[in-house]
Amino acid sequence: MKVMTENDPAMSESVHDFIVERLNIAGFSFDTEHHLVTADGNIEYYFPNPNTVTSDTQATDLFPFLVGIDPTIEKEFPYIEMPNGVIVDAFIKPTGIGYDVVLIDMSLQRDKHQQVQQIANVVSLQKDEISAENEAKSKFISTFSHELKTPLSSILGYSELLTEEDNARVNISANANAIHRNGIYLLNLINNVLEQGRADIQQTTISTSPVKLSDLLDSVSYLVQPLADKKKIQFSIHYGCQEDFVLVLDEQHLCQVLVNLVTNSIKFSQEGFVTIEVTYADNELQFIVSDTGIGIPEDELVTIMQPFGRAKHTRHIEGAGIGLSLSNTLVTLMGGELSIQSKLGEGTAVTVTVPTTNAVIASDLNGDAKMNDNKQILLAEDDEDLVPLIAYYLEEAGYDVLIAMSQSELKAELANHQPAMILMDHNFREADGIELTKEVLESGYNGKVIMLTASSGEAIVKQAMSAGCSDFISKPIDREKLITRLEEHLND
Amino acid sequence: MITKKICIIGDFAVGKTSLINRFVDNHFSEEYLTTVGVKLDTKELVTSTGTDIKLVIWDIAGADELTTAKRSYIDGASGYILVYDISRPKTLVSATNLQGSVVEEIGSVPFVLVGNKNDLEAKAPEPDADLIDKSCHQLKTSALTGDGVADVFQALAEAVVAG
Ligand SMILES: Nc1nc2c(ncn2[C@@H]2O[C@H](COP(=O)(O)OP(=O)(O)O)[C@@H](O)[C@H]2O)c(=O)[nH]1
Ligand SMILES: [Mg+2]
Repeated sequence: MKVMTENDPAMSESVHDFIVERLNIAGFSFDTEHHLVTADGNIEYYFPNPNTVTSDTQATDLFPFLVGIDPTIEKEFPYIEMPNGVIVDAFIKPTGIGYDVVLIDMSLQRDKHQQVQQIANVVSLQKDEISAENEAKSKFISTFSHELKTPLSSILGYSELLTEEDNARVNISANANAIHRNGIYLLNLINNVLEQGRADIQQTTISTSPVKLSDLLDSVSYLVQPLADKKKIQFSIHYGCQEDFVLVLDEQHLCQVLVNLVTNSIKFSQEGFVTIEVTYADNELQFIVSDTGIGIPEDELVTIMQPFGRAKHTRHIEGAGIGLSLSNTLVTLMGGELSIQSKLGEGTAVTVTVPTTNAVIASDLNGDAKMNDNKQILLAEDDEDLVPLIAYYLEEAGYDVLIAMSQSELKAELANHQPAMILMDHNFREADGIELTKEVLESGYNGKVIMLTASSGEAIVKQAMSAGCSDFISKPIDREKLITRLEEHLND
Repeated sequence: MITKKICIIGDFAVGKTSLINRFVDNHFSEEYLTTVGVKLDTKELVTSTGTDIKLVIWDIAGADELTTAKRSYIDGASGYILVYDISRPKTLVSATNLQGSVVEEIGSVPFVLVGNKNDLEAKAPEPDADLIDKSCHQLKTSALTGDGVADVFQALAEAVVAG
């Protein structure tokens, strides 16, 4: 064994070579004029072309990291990337007659370090994103609960008044109106949140069917008129085309969009007018919802299109602030466009255009449609709360409604009438709706039977279909779904 | 031709590497790859007064503070680009802190204050008047679109040459 002593400092050549190879060490000596004097070690590893390393070479040409550096002071630069991509630790050591630059290959270490740091940074970025999201969510929840509470407490307050013994002093119709108005407001709010939730997970489905333009706008009007009345704002609809055009549209979503826009207009107006102008040309339906409200400053037009983004000067006005961005999303999904023009203090106009097809004048359509020939529907349902509600829906939709709340009533009605359709409760009194359906059909009834059921189990659906039902509709009954489904069946 | 060292400093993921890539190679990548250590690039410019200048650009790993190891990296810099991400407010706080540390280390040399990712929605406020005053120039950029990127380097080169 050879032991190194102070008198014998030379490392064995093989050990020296091994270390140089293994760590890719290279040393370069420069004079005070920054000219290369000698180079030693694994030079080719860093400079594969030997012509770049000559006695004329300036230090900063070989090592750009020396630019601006005072080499008479000892220095070290960890993890510096050389021009050929190798990562080194670079050491600068003054020698008295110049300085040395020593390089050690750190590529492997740097890569490991890089991987760890990468994960740490990405995690930290995600954490920030999540906390920003959470902040937005909790802000939303607190705004939303406030939004729910306001109309709910009105509803509770007014309905309590209506139940008071001394009814003579209570203005029943005004109270009922207030309840209705707040109920509609709540419904719209909840619909927006649900729809936004669906849009967030890309589950909004656009489903189109033929819709009479005036029917669509009547539903909008029905929902917003009470809000306008309350604030004494004039709400009107101007038709720039025929009111009874039948267009292929997503009625539910379009209604939601228009209700949102009009509600916003009403909200942000203290007085004046809110109008919807409708025009139809070249397979494009256009609505302009305009108001004489407070307007939106130009620099906030972008933020208000984002969920929960509301213009700064409107913070005091109620509204969960998703109506506009949701409307924009829905219109885009329908293949249309939504744009805003606004002037602070003068008002706002929102233009919505949606592509549509198959415009036929409704009166033509009705001429040969079977739909109007027989609009009689027999409702076989025993729930005392549900019967008037469903009957109301049907009557509003223009149907003539017969009601049977027991088996004997059902038989009596069928003896005297031939309704186009029977809506059959699955659990009709003690009887089984499926058995009743079979009976009714066997006895010669030739209209359609649609089952109403609270359960949507596959077995029941199969049984109903094999008993001869044309369809089934699940409870709770969705008004629009009910009406569209009935129309579909009565039209084919 | 004069050769000068400049550094690009700012919190991680503000887009320092992307700004350099856009400026030097006119290239942008969506992918995020953390810089560990230093990558050097060089680029030649001509100032408005006609001076040829070669910039040696140090892309320093991002952090919200200058650690001891990183302090050595800014040694000898004639100027620097101080970057924050307009979509992340806390990177502006980091930029303000970093600026203080740089002054401690190398004294006051010119710097350009850059709000990057101008293509995204701004969430950070405007920088303090104090920081803007110290800078020789303040700019908003997007490495993604290239907007304002060349102006940053040009402005710094002018300031470095003017001394
Ligand atoms: N949208 C956008 N993204 C950018 C911009 N600049 C950088 N990025 C992205 O931001 C991330 C971090 O960029 P990088 O340059 O690695 O940041 P560094 O850590 O400061 O070097 C990467 O995913 C880039 O694609 C920009 O101007 N706009
Ligand atoms: Mg980087």
